[in-house]
Parts: sequence; C-alpha cells; structure tokens
Amino acid sequence: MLSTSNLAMWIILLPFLGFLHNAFAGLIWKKNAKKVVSYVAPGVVLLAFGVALMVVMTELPNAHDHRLIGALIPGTSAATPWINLGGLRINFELLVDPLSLLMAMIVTGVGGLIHVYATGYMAEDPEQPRFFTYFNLFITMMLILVLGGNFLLMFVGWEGVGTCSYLLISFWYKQSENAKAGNKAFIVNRVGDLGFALGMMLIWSVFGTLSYFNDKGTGVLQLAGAGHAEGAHTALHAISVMGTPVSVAVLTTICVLLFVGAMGKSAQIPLWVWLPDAMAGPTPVSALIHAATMVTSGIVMVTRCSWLFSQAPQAMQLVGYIGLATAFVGATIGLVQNDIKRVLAFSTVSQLGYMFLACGVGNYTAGMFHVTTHAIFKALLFLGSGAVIHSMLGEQDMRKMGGLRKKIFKTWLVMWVGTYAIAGVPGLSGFFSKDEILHSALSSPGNGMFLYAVGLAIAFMTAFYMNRLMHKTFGVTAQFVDGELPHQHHSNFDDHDAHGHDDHAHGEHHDDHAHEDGHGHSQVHESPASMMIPLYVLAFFSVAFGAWAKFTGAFEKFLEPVVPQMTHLEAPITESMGYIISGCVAIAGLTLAYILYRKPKVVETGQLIPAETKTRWEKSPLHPYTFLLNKWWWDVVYNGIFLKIGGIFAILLWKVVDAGIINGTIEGLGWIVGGFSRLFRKLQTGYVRNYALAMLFGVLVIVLGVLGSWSIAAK
Amino acid sequence: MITTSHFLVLSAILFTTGVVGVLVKRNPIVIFMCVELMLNAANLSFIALGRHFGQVNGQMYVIFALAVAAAEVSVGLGIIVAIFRAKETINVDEINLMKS
Amino acid sequence: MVTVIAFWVLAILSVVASIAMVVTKNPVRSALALVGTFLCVAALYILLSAQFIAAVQVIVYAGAIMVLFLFVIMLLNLGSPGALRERGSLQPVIATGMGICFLIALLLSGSLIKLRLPAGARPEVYEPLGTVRGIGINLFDPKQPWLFPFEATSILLLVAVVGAIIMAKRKV
Repeated sequence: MLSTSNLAMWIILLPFLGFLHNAFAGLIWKKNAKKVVSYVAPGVVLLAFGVALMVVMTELPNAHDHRLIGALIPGTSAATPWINLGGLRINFELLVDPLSLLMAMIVTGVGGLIHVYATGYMAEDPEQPRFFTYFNLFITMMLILVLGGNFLLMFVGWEGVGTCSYLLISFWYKQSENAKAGNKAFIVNRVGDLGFALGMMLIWSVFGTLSYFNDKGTGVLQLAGAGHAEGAHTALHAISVMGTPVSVAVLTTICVLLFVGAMGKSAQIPLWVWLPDAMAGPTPVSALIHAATMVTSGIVMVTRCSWLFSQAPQAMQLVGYIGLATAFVGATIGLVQNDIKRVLAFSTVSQLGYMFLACGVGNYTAGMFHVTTHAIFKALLFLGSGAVIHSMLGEQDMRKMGGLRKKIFKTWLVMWVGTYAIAGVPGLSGFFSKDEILHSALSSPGNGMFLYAVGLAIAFMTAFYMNRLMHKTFGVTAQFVDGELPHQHHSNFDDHDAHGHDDHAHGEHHDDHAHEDGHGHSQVHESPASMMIPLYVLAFFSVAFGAWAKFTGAFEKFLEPVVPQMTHLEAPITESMGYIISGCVAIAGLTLAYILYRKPKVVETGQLIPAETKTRWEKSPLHPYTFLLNKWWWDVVYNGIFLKIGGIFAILLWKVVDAGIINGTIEGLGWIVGGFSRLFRKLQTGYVRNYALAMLFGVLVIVLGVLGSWSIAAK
Repeated sequence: MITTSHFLVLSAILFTTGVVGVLVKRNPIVIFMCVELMLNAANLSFIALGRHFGQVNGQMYVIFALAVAAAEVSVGLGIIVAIFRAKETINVDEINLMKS
Repeated sequence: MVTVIAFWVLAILSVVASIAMVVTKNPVRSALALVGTFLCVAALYILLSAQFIAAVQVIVYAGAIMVLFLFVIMLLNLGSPGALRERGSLQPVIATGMGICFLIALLLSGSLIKLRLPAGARPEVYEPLGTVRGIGINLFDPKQPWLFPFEATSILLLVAVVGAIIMAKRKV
C-alpha cells in the first residue's frame, strides 16, 4: 500500500520536476535550452505514463477494494495533513483507484504523445521552453485533479488546469485576439468554478469532510456508496451522516452545483462559449487541453461523484438533457464552420455533450469509455489538423485549402482514421463508445426514444461534418496556388517574433521538394517525424482500442468497482440491432457528404453552396445558415445580456458608489483632518516661551491632580 | 513663632515669581536669573525641611545644587554669547528655529 | 522674638526684590535686585542654622555668578532699556494668571503637607548642624552617600569650564 502510494506520487512529481526544469532551463542550459527541453518535457510525461502503467499492472490487482489512499509525501503512511484550521481538516492525499488511474493513463499517455508532437510543432518557436513549462505544469495539475483524494485537491487541479489553459490559449499573447480568447476562457470558467466551490462548501457543511474515502468509512463517496447499496434507488434518502439522513433536495443541490462546475470546464450549455475561441492557442494545446484531457475533467468529476449523482435523479436528468442539448447545438454549428480547428472544436463540444448524456442516463462507464476513445481520436484529429496547418504555413481556413491528399498523403491517411473513428464507422473505437451511450440512452425509462433519436441525429451530423472537413481539406481542387502561400500567415502564425521559423524550416524543405517534384515551388510538405509518429500511434489506438475494450470487456471490468452499475433495463431493441442502426447512420452521414462533395462543380470550387448564395443568406439574421454560422447568436446574446447590463452596473458602481460614496467619505475624512491640522498648527509657534507656558499648565494640572487625590485620601 | 511652614510658603512665593519671570521675560539673561531664583527657592525649602528633621542632608543637596548652578550659568552664558555672535540678537522671540 | 522680626523683614525684602527683578526692564537692575534677593535668602539660611551655606550663597551666588551675569550684560551691550522691547501679547497675562494659580496650588499642598509633618518642629538652633565642621564631617563621612557626588561635581565643573570657554571663544 505504501509502495503504491509512493509510486503514484511519482506520477505527479515527474511532470512537476519537468515543469521546474523547463521554467529554469534558459538559466541552466543557456543556448541549448530548447534542445534539452524538447527531450525533458516529453520524457517526464512518458515516464509518468510508465509509472502509471506500473501501478496498474503490479499494484492494483493486489489492493483490496480497488481503492488505495496514498500520501504525496514519501515515507508517510496514508495521508499528510495539509490544512488544519479549527474544524477544517484536509489532508494531502491521493486516491489511487481504477478511475483515477484510467485518467492518469489518458493524461500521461495521450499527453506524452502530444508532447512529442509538440517538440516538432514548436521546434522553431523562440519561446519553446515557456511553452513546455506550461505544458508540463498542465500535466501536473491535471494529474492532481484526477488523483487527488478529496474535493479540495481536485479543486486545486481544477484551477491549475484552468490557469494553464489560460496561459496556453494566450501563448502568442502579442496578438490581442489570443489574449482575449484566453480571458474569455478564464472568465467563463470563473462562473463554473464558483458553482464547484459552492458545491464543495455544501458538501463540507453536510458531510463534515471533503475526502472521498477515509479509514473511518465516513468519506463522502463511502457514505454515498453505502447509501446506494442500502437504498438501491428505492429509498432515495439513503445517505445518512451521523445517523441523520441527508435529504434528496440537499443532494440534488450539491450535484447541480458540482455540475455547474463541470459545465464551465467541459464547455456545456450555457457555459460552452469559451471553447471555440480557445482554439487561438497552438494546435498541440487544442489537442491536449481542449480536446483530450482538461475538457473531460467535468465528466471525470461527475463520474467520480457518481455515487452522489445516483441518489439525485433530478440532477442526473439535468445532466443528461444539458449534455444532449450541447451535443445537438455543437453538431449543428459544426456543419457550417470554415476554420478547420473550429469544426473540431464544435465537434469536441458536441462529443462532450454525448459524454454527459451517458452520465445523465446513469451509464458512467460508457461516459468514461467515450472520454477515453475521444481523447485518442480527437487528439489524433487535432494533431492531424495541426500537421495540415503546419504544411499550409499557418493557414486555417478550409476554403483556402483543398487537394492536399497527394501532397501530404500520410497526414491524409491518419486523418481519415480519425474521421472514421469519430463518425462511428463500425469497428473503430468511436463506434463502440458512441453506440454504448446511444444504447443506454434508449433504455432509459420514459424518454428513451427521444434521447435515442436526437442522439442518432447528432451522430449523423457528426459523420457529415467530419467528412465535409476531409473533403474540403484534402479532396476538392486546391484553392490556393502552391508556392504562393503567404509568408505572413494569418491567425496565430504571423507573430513574426514567434514565427520567423516557418521561413527557415520551410526554406530547407522547399529546396528538397523543388528538386523531387520537379515542378515549380512547392511549399506544402509533410511534417517531420516527431510529429508523424504520435499520429501513427494514436491512429493505431483509434482503430484498435474500442474493439479491444469492448470485446474483452476489460474496460467495464476495470471501472466496475468505482462507478454504480446501470441497472439493466430492457431496451426496445437488442444491442446488435443498435450496432446496425448506428453503423448505418454513421455511414449514411459519411455517404451524404461524399455524394455532395463529389459533384464536379463542388470539387472545382470547393464550395457546396456558391458564395453568392451564402452572401445573400447572411443578410437575413434568422436564416438557418447565418444562425448556425454565428453559433446560434450565442455570443451576441451573451454580449447583450452580460456585457451591456454588467457594464451599466459597473459604471453605476464606479461613478456612484466608488467615486461618490467611497471617495467622498475618504476625501471628506481627509478634509476634516486637514482642517483640524490647520487649526492646531497655529499652536506650534516655535517660541520656547509658549512651550514653557504649556509646560507650566501641565505642571499645574498634575499638582491639582495630586492635590485632588490627597484630599480624597484625607477624607 | 516662625515654623517650617513659613519658610516653605516663602520658598513657594519665590519659586512662583521665578516661574512667572521665565515665562514673561524676553531677555534670555534675565530668564536665566529667574531660573537662578527658582533654584534658590528650592534650596531654601531643602534647608528648611532639613532643619525641621534635624538633619544636615538637606544642606548637602544645596551644596550640590550650588555647584550645578554655577556650571549651568557658565555654560548657559557661553551659549548666549555664541548665539549673539551668530544672530546679532538674543531676543527669544526672534529665535524660533523650532518652527519649521 | 528677634528671629520672628528678622524672618518677616527678610521674607518681605526678598519677595519685593524678586518681584522687582521680574518687573524691571533693565537687565542690570534685574541683576541688582536678584543680588538683593540672594542676600536676603542667605540671611534666612543663617536663621535656619545653615551658616556655611549662607556664606557660600553670598560668595558664589551674590558674588561670582552675579558678576558673571553683569559681565555678559555689559559685553553684549544690552544695558539700555530699549534694547529689548517687549511687544504686547497675551503671554505675560496668561503667565501671571497661571503663576498665581500655581502659587495657590503650592500653598494648598503646603498646608496639606503640614498636616503630615511630624509634630514638634525644632525652632532652637541646633549648633553643629550647618557649621563648616558639621558639613565637612557629613560630606566626607564614608557611611554617607555624598562622597561620590562630590567627586562627580568636580568633574562637572571642569567640563563646564571647558564648555564655557569653547562656547565663548570667537573661533575654535
């Protein structure tokens, strides 16, 4: 037990040491800093992955109850006291159980691959050590989030990843849009974090502890789990603290508040607006933080608290419906976006909605399964799109791409794997995880059919827009003249400080290509090996992981001890029937896109709908196309409500409260003091004899006082 | 019959005269004289009380007070001379360096 | 009887002389009035059987110190009455009023102290008390604490002499 906790500790410590090293790399290694960092940063994360794997392989099967509570300080047993204030006792403890280890493996595994990729992607950035400093810190914080043994430690990680997300979104801070996108992400997350914090406080006041598990059996999740076992859905107030049952209303409040936190971090309606803008960061950031790991922490949190949620059916319903709505909104918007990374961002929003749908219908295992597969294939897609952008020298607009298949064939190949995986083509990982969710949605009582139908519609749209992306990027005729790609590229890459690199790096390649191809100046080129190898690995797992997990049942068995199992309700259709239906839907979506984008005219112009038509449509704000292009006018509405009204309120506070009341009070006090000073200053004449007079007065007072006391004593 | 109290009252009157003189006069030399008067008044009460208790110790104090007064006068007058040299005046109302 | 008359005469003379010292505007007159006060006080010391102190008072105060004062007055040429004109202000009035209050307070406290004094004051002259012999024996008595202050006073006087010279010298 002790050794496990020590090993688990190293999962967190390794990236942290990497973080420290990278932060001071410039100081230590001087000019070699970038080179050293490009080995150290991925190295520590991959090492941490190795450690996590070791814990899973060697320690977990031996542990009783599949739960190990570890300490962060080596050599101490159990938990190290961290906060000890009156009644508030919080330990620095790690919880090593299948759920946290699964997440640790995703974070370090996928994260490690993205680190390797980033060494290629960021190779020429002069601030590469800063990038990897944030990256390793992010991994550290994410691991604290998933491995922490109580809600407060989770909150530490929660805020830490939020900070890193902010830092990395605005990594190229010299462009104000990036800084603004970072701000948006941070501020929107504040709302969610407030919900989480309130939920945490409520948990504290109800349960009197924040630990998930403890030796006395009074940890939050222990109580919840015991209540679950005892009540098993029939008695809803089965959780009792000190013999007093906790009411369903309180539990529901806790769950809803926690879910508000999850909404912020996992970009759910109504707090999803930050995620598309977060694509302003470098592509590895989008892949790691805004697709694979951080945005799934909301699902992880809900799954972690699944014992609580399973006692609050109304909260679960809310989770399910919010998830469904988000999935739908995200998918619809994804249909019309033109920026390659934005399409993927909306697809991420949509897939996160799917995961919450799974949690909402009570199949947490399916939710985590989708988290895992999504982490793999969405990282693949993002990194693939990063490779495309890299090849296009920073171009992100799909309308200016096209015809890349021949030029970057390997990238095209792995992107196809990712597309099929997310679309849910039978046999790939996305298919299994998505089908699992759809199936459990169907079997949920009451509204199963509705959930299933919307879910299928979303799956259809997903398949369609992903294929659209592939066609626009790789299939149709090139919409740019090769060799005339802009040197000052659009978006993040034109910070010449940061991105003089494209000129260098591509200058070399450029000569090779010109030689090989023998026709003109070809700048579009395949990415270096450090970027391609992670893509191959991810592609392999995108293909294999789902089937392996499904057919061996390993995944379910692994998570079984930590999440409540779905009570098997009878679905109207069998599981194999479900496979067929969802497989057909996915293929239909792909086929529709294939048919539409194979039309000769479309292939030629790269546009399904002529540009003139679009311009006409855009004139009417309620036309579906305009509506979707502008993200359902979501940002506009938010600007109207929160920025305008909030702005008026802020001006009120500024002009009236601050300038009027507070400043008035302070200045008035100053004026009064000044007046008295002007008065008293007259007393200070500087003439010694005046002071002597005052002294005599003092003596007189003293003598009279002594006299008075004597006369009193005499009586 | 002259009692100790008579001497004490006389001493008090002389002392107060000295105090008022210090406060009223502007010539530092005269202020000095007033201080000397106050010292004398105190000496008088020392001796009166010493005799009242039949002790010589009261007179001992007076001896030291005399010595200190002599020292004080020599230094004080030295200071007055120095000030006069620097400022061409010794009027205490024209010397108000303490006012910033 | 002689002592009573002597006391009253000396007391009135000393008070009048002291008031004259404060009131007169000419510092030379002030100095002479102060000499008068000192002489009266010296005579009162004899009444209190402090003959040695009386002699010292005459020699040191009325002699040396007052001569020093007069020298300085002459040196700074402040003898003329108009040299330091007193401008009208509230200070003298307040000071006098406060002085009277102070005196009343002192007298009140004196009367209160009197209640606490041991009865039987000794009007008779206790011969050896204030003679040179009595003072000397007491001053150098190793059982008394006066020896060290005596030596310290000699150093004080030395320092005062040096200080006065340095102050008064034109250029150091």
